[in-house]
Amino acid sequence: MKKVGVFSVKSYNKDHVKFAYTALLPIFGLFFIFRIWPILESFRLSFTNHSIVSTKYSYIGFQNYINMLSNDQDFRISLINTLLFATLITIAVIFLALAITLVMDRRKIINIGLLQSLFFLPVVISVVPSAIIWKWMYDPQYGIFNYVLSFFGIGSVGWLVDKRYSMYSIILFVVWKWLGYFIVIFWVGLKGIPGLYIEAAKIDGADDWQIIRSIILPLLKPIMFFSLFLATIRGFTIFSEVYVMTVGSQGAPGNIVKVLTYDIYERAFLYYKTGQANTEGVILFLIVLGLTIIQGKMLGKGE
Amino acid sequence: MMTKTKLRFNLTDLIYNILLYLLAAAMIFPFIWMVSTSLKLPQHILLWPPQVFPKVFTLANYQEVFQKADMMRYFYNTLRFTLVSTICIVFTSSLMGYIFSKYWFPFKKPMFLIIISTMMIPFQCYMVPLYMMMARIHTVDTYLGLQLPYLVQALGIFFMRQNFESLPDEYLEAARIEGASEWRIFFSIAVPNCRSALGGLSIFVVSIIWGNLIWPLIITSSDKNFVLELGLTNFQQLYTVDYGLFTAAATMAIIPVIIFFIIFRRQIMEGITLSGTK
Amino acid sequence: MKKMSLILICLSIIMVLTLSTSFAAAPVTITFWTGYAERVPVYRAAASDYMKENPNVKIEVTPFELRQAEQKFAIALPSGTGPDLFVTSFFIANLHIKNGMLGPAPTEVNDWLNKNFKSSYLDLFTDEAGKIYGVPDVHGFQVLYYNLDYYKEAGLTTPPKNLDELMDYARKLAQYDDKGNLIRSGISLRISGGGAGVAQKFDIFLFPNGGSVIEPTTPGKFKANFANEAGYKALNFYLQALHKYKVDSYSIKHDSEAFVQGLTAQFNRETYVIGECKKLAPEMNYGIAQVVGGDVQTATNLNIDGLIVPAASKNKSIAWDFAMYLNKDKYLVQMMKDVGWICTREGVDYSEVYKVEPHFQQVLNRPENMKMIPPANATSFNETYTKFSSRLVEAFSDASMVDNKEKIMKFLEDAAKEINDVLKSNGEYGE
Repeated sequence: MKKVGVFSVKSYNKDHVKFAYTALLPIFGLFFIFRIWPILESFRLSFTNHSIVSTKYSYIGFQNYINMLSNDQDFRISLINTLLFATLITIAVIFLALAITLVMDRRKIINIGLLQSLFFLPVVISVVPSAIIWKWMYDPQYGIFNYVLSFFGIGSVGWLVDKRYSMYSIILFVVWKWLGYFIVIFWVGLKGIPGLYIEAAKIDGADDWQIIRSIILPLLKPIMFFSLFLATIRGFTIFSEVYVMTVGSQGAPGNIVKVLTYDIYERAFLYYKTGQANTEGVILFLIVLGLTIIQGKMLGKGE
Repeated sequence: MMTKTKLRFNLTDLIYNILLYLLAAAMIFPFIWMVSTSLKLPQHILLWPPQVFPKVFTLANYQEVFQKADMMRYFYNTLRFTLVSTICIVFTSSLMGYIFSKYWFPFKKPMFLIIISTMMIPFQCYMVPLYMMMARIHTVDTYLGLQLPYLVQALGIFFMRQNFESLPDEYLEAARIEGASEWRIFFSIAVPNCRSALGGLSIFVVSIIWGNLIWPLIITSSDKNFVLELGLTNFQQLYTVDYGLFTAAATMAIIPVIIFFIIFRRQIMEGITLSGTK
Repeated sequence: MKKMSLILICLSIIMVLTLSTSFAAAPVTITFWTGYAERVPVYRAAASDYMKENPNVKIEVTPFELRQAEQKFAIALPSGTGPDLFVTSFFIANLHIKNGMLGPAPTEVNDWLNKNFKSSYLDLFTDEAGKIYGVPDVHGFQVLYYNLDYYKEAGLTTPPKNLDELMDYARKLAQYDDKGNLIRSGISLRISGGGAGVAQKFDIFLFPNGGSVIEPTTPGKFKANFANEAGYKALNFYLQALHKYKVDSYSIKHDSEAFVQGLTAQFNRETYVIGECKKLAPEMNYGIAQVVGGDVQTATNLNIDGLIVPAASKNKSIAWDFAMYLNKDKYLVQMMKDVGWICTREGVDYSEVYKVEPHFQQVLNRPENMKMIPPANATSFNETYTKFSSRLVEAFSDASMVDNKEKIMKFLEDAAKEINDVLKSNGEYGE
């Protein structure tokens, strides 16, 4: 099948194009109405001083952007926090998920089905209940983590409250929540590799490491890119997990774990400055877009 | 499915097994904690040292939850939302993913990029314009208002596209040579060969939609339209949480998804493939 | 074909599900949203009584989590898809009043309001033109809770009168294990957590010396009021508690949960804790006193909620009628007895509650000269308090600031500048 650029018309197969568009247009239409158009609205509002509680507002050009990028301390702190969060979470989740999936595939594991169900369970428990349970586990007085520590003679630690640990405590929670998801992604990707290739390699005498390195990993590239992409996006746009953990008196301290989405939320719904909130959203979007393009280039073709 | 010719179970395998199961046990510990709390009496919930299993089992929390909130109604709403979303999203995602992977046409790249980039902006940013749109077409606090934004999903499209990349083009060529139409090829070759991916996608969609809170929160306001996740807020007070009631409600809210996963796990994770064409 | 039938089945499922909606044709329906789930039983009791007396009216009380309720309300208002009645803090109410989103009280309600509520409370819901937009509902103010058994142990009989005594007492009440770790805090301070809470609780420590986070100067204008002696004393109190005398710490539980479990001897909070204590620690011996005062004044904060009606509501008169109905003695007493919140209507007899729970009497036993200071009615309220809270959280953890007047004042001045800048950005700054 010849691969062509967008504008060289000669090599398109007319029937194929017809088929593609017939299926594509209605679906893309739905997409446009319910996702793309509101996003465009949000872009538009980023150039205004819109406030969610009133109906009057005016255009102020790039003022929001200039303010935010030059002297907005909250934005800067949130940006740094988000970068840290997203990076750590992405590395941890992808590394763990890949390792676990490879072990499950290449080793004889008893009752894989049960194991997979257990790993997937945290994904299924909704954010609010699981965060409340974790807050409890991190409790300085009654939490299970401190209970375990007491066996080693170490005193109570304020896992969420102490600013040295809050970020890592939340990261642990998020990794727990997302791991099963990525295990399923990698597993499904592994299953998509035709068994013939692996059998052939085995006949040639390759051991597990060689199989992994020369067959599985290369063929897993599209999935790898997808996982990296997904983890990055989710890492940057994480919200509910952080929000529920910081709310309330036993929650984590404000600025230490404030991420961009949280700042956006505060601006829009606590300070009622939706124009600014949208500006921040656009900046976040551009950052993620940039990162994705870089990732795509680094992993070669996977786009 | 790879056949392992060696059935001997060696030491490294055993170690791997133990490690994985220990990890899995740690993963589900919070869940066990949640369920056991829901079965405890109020005075046993905040004990020190912490007791994992209840001294006294009680179903009182569950009874009270049913009295205080219309769980059956929430369940019905959530089921409807999830079922329709899953069917629509799985169908549209596989079709779009297939087309973006195996076909070439003008504007293919830009369209795909636009779809993917919608994932990069957090929902909070555009949910207000989306709500305003729903208000304009009078679907606020209705099922339609809740459902419409969730008929298609960028994540699904991207996921399916990546999975279709590993479907060898030769299969499609072979079918074309035999004179099959494009639609026929989609339904009888592409879809069966990615059952595993379809399964993976459906479980993702189910778990996302079932536990979705932000959109239902904004678009619905009558109790009769609430989904389970919103119903949980009945048990969250301003400064405190009644742990017993809350965990009971939360457990009830996730049991259906767990059941779904257990039933469909085989199809999802093991992926039944067609013989013959391979 | 199998595939075809599968598709048809899916399509029919979709059709059945999407089309089966129940259309409950109600008579007049009043939707009442609230972010206070614990008050809902009282609201619903009133609603069902009202519906019995007015059979053509249906009242739906829907609770949401507090922040989400405010969020939903704010989003729904501009498009007119909000509820008929909403109960929220006066600050949020004022935001919407300023933007013309609420409807004013009809004349009959106005008269009733003036007769039944203190004018200082009504003022908080009044716009510049003198129209009243809300029916005051519950009010919250902090009081000092103290554990009587722990007091007795330490030989203390009466509650402290000022900040110095408060710290003295805390030092006598704190307990440690053999490794020196704090196992019972002498006082439980709000040193962490998101949002505006940290700064709001800090206000209580600023009041004795005449400070506050922001204070009104000229009508509609405010400025920061803590880069002074009051701020120094308050911040130093926290620092000393955490790092010098170690009567509170990061690794112990805080707040009402701690008090109920006997992990702290003293703390400041609103009256709902009485209900908590009754439920979770019925045997505990505790007392309630007014928060400590100082040389300048004795004051506590005042947060008031009000029942408001959006301008876009189609059932305004019934909504207002129900708002008045909610203020019947019966429900106000129930609110205090069952939920622990105190309402603001004048002349209600709460004696039956005092019999069962005398702590409420202690709460309302306020000296004549004690002030109740509401939060500044500024649009920047949320932003200033939230930003100051984050600054405070960082300062509290800095042990090197203890007793260091220079460092503390520098911190307070920097923070004050930030707060004043926010006020300026909203056109609300004034000397």
